[in-house]
Amino acid sequence: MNAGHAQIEAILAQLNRVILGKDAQIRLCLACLLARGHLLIEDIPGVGKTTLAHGIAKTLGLSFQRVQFTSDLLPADVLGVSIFDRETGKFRFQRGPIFAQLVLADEINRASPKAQSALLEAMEEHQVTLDGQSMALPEPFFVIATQNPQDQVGTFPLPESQLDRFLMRVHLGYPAAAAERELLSGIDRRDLVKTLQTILTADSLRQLQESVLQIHVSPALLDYVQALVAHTRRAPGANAGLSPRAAIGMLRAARAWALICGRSAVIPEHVQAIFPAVVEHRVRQRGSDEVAASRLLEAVPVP
Amino acid sequence: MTERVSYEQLLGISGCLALALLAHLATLPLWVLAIVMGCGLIRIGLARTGRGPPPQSVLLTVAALAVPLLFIRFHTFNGLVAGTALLAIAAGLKLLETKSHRDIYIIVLIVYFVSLAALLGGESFWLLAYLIAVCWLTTATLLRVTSSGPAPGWQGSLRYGGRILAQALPLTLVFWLLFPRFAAPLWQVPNDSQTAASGLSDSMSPGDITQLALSDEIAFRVRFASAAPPGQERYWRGPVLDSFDGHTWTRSTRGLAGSAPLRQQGRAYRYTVMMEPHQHRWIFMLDWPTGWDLPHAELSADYTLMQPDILSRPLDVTGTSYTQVQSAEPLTQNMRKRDTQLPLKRNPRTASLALQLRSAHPGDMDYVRAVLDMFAQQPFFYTLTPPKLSDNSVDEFLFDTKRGFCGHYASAFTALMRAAGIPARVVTGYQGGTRNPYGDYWIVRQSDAHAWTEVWIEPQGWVRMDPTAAISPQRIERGPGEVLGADDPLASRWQRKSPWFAGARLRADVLREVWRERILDFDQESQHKLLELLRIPEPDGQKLVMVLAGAMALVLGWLTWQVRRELSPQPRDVTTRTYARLCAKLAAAGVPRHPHEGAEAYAMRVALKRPELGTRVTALCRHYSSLRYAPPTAGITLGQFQAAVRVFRPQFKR
Repeated sequence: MNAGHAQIEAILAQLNRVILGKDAQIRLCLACLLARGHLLIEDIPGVGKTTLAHGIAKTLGLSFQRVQFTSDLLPADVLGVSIFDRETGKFRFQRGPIFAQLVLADEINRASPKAQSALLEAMEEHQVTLDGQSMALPEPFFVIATQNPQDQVGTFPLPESQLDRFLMRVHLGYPAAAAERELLSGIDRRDLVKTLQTILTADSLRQLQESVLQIHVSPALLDYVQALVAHTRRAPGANAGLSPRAAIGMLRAARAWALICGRSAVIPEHVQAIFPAVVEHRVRQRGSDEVAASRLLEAVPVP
Repeated sequence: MTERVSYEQLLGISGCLALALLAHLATLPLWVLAIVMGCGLIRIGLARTGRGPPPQSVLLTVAALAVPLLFIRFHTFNGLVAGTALLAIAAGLKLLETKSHRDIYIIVLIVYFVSLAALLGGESFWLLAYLIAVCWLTTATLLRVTSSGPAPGWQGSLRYGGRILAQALPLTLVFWLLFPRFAAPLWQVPNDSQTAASGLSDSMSPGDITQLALSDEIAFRVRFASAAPPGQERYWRGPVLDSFDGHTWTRSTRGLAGSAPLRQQGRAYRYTVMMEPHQHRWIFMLDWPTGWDLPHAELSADYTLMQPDILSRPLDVTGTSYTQVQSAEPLTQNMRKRDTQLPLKRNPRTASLALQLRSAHPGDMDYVRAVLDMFAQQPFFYTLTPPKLSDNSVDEFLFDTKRGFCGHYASAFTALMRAAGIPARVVTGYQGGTRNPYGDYWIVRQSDAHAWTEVWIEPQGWVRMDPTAAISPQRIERGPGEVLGADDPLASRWQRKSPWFAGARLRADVLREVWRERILDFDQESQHKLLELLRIPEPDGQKLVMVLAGAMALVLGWLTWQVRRELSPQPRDVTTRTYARLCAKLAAAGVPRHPHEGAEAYAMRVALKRPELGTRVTALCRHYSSLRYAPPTAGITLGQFQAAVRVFRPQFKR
């Protein structure tokens, strides 16, 4: 536990050096990965989404692939293709970029729904099926997708069913003034990423993920999570509440957050910390685009 | 609100309406009930085939027919019966046009109102029980209509409805006890002239009492303050009949007011007579009444207690009687003349028999004994089914048929006395009665009706002579049911065969009696006594209204509290209770917790606002957090947390 927490502190410290002034977002990203969830980063270009993904891959010691989603991207470009080998006279499978431990799907909402769904199925099943043949994806397997805000031209917004597969959605946002000055004065971030140290091995990452499941959850806290989930379903103006899958993911994310905070049990504050990231892309409100997570939180008393 | 009604809901509400109107069956014109029933049946029939209400024109036609008819019948829409009839027709029309839940709510309200109206017309216990059942059923129906989910089972609805009614009980009780009462009732229970007078009347023909003896109806009940007099002294005095036309005895006391004083002998009996309304003025008292607690009633010259008005409501009279008395003054000439009169040229054989006996027995008492001996020795029979008698009834009875009931004997005996010049009169009333072992009171039924004779014997005065006792002494000791043979109609009644039924009937009668004594007779005086007990001196309307308003506020407050508690359940276990205490202390110190705030976030906020409390509050909240959310083995115990919260006393600061 303590060793695990020290590792986490080191990871956070290192990532904070790359992305300045975004401690909370970085913690959320890490919690999402420790909870074995996929991450959606939504923001305008140029705030460091790709850099963050790079940094995480490097720090956690994961194999990294990046796919730039464009409107003419085909599923094969993501998953891979079978190519006829003249020498052997057989089809040989050429693996696509998805066969990596951390896949960065850049600007996922620029691709056609067909290409999007190829990725999203792989995310859910942790395997790829082509020509009737199933191939397991490497373990651990994370997808960090980025998307531009949807009011930009030429995008295919992800349908709600697809959004549900991302455990969290995080906004990075512009850096604060001090962080931005430091950013301007410092060296290029991409160069910095190359210098990062690998802190975790595949084994220790798995251990950390295991210890997320060891975090204690009391009945009172289960009540609270359930009350929150139930409230999203009947809150005035909400179109659709959280799915049971989302509820399970929320509890797991809260455990990961407790682990990051160095606690052995989940307390309501942990749930509240991850709640906006888990809920806001799932629960849509009639009229406006999204539901304010803080309003939902305020409506449910802590047991 | 605009949800469509289902067939089942329609059936339920129609049933409730029908049951509520059933309580008005006796008062409402039948055609009104027929219209309501027709409306209900048409609507149910339409709903059965899945159709909606009939077109507006049908409704208008029915209304245009029914309302004028009502006016023709009653000449008003005011008043209990007319109002109820109008309401019933309105409910029927509403039923006919019912399509949404809102219509059902209106019918439910009408059902409640119609049930209430039934209580204005009668106050029997069974009526109330029936109406409560109807309201219960109606409430359950309403609950089924309003329930948001799928309709629950009838059993569940009834249980829930019963709970709601039961919750209204305390407030009902308070209002019943404390609502300002008036010495005179606010409304008179309608004194319907159609209600037939029951029981004894002020005339007696042969066979009259025989009719009564077939009736099981209760005439009155009696509760004795101490021991009851023995059977042969339990004569309940009713109208005294003094005028005879040869066939029928009648009462002719006009111009004879004021009773001659009596010398009381023996022991006094104190008792309360609980009269059933019988539409006559007299009240049955134990022979001979000397005291009563009715300010306006007085004894007639014949010692019958008379009310100024006819008895249309139940009435309780507490009185005193002596079974042995002596007349203190001699018989007035008027009375002597009246009580020795016989019709001329009627019953000649009786007259000659009297002359013959009188010549053999010149003494009054000897003569009386001789006549009684004659009844006892000759083959006279006591029977409920005597042959019919014509104009010379006494002659026919004494010399031909020789079969009769008490009326025949009293009539013949009195005639024989008068023929011999001895003043005599027929007294009607009741004799005996049945003791209710479950309630320690006596029930006197119409079947206990009796007639006997009073004879003036010097120097004692009026002496009661019961010729029936000479024929059949058991009748006086045990009651008519015991004496008559198995083929008599009275004895063949099925309920007499079943002791279980008789017992159940007596028990039900006790219930009814308690109802009457405790509930119906709770008047202004009883209320004052209660208020004295409650230490509310000199109660007036204003004070009572204040008390009632207080009770109302109390109940509403309690309801609000209940609803609040249901909405936000209070912490049950010690940990959360202790934490709630900590939060309350901090709130008193000026930093209340938001309901959605976790303990540690709260502690941080407190630390920001009140840095001097920061460390302690953070530690306390951390303790709570781990007590509540961490695995049970971790660190601090509940006792320590409790102790720490107990000594934590933050100061209030702005």
